[in-house]
Amino acid sequence: MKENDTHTEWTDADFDARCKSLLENRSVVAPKPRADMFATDARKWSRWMAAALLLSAGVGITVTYNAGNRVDPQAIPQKAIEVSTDMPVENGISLPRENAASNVALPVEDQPVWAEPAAAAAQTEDVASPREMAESTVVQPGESGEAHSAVGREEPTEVAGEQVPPVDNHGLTEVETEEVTEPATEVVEEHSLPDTSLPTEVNSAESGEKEVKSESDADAPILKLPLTVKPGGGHR
Amino acid sequence: MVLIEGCKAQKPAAQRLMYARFSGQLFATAIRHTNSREDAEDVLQDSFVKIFKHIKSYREDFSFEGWMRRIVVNTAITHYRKNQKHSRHQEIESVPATPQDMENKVDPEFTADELEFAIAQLPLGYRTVFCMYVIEGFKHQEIAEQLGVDVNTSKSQLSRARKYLQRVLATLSARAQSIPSTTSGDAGSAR
Repeated sequence: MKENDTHTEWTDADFDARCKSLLENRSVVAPKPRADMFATDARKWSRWMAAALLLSAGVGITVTYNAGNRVDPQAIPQKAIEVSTDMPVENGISLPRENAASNVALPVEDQPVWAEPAAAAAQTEDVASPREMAESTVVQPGESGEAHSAVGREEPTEVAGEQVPPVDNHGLTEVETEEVTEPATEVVEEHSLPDTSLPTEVNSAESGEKEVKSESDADAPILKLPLTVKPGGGHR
Repeated sequence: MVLIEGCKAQKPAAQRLMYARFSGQLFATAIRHTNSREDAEDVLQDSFVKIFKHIKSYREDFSFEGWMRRIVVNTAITHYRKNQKHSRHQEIESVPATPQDMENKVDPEFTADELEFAIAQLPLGYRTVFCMYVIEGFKHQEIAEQLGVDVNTSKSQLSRARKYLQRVLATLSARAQSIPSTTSGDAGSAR
């Protein structure tokens, strides 16, 4: 006699247990998952890329800002020094004003670059000896905001053992000084100057050369660059 | 456990393995709590999104499969409430009746396919109550809260669903018994 011929009356508990045992681990073929269901690596990479882009943009802006506002101290040669006219040198020798034989004119493109106070303070430690000062190419304005002007020098000058060709007067310019009276020091790269520059005072009578006083008065006419200065200062 | 920890760390590889391992079982659960395969697919996808999102709240003193199935059931209920296309409280009398003489006389060897076929004949409300109580292990109080019905309604629907399934399974068993005898008779007559 077959077993399944015997129909039994099911209790609820037996029926529930039977149903649960059959269906609890029942499995069917599931559809493919959605693409956005899982946490993808692309999301993590996109976050990292966004952060990297923001960081690089910030660095770029900072570098651009700094490059536009100050001179990199490392780009300045060691021989480029700054000298304050009133500042004593380490050995107690003051800067010889007699060396200011003449005013030196700087071409427009070679005009001194004013260093930031922080950079200037860092560079004041490198105060050179008097000889180096004489060889240096620094032009130092007075602290009183005195006019800073320059006139070309025709004599070739040896700078740091190098023979510098004479400066052509046609490239000389007269600088309007009211615009450059803020910094206390200036640093000029040695090779960027055509001639030896010495600490300059407007009053350099000992030089015997024609000098041009800078016009510090507000009423003075503003000369536009470039301006060719004729020999003799253009005055007849 | 490694798989669960990987999913807790939001590792895509672990999540894919989790889906490959449990999606079939959870899809079967979703089918039982929905009226169509398309709805079941939506419920499955939404359920896995919830699983991956809330897996950190899973406590290891509870069955992980049971925890996931409960999420699927809750998602199916939410899905139903959003659509409101079906009447979960459809009366069971509208379901085609089975022979009265087969009532409560069920072949104890009925198969899973037969049971699923019988469950699929139930209205969604009865089906949900039956599956939640019998298979998923919900209590009547929980079912009533989830479905927004009275506890007595849940109990009555479970009882009626159970009897209906027994009738359907008895009918299927009787048909299965009649087929071999017919086949053997045909074979004998062929001789």
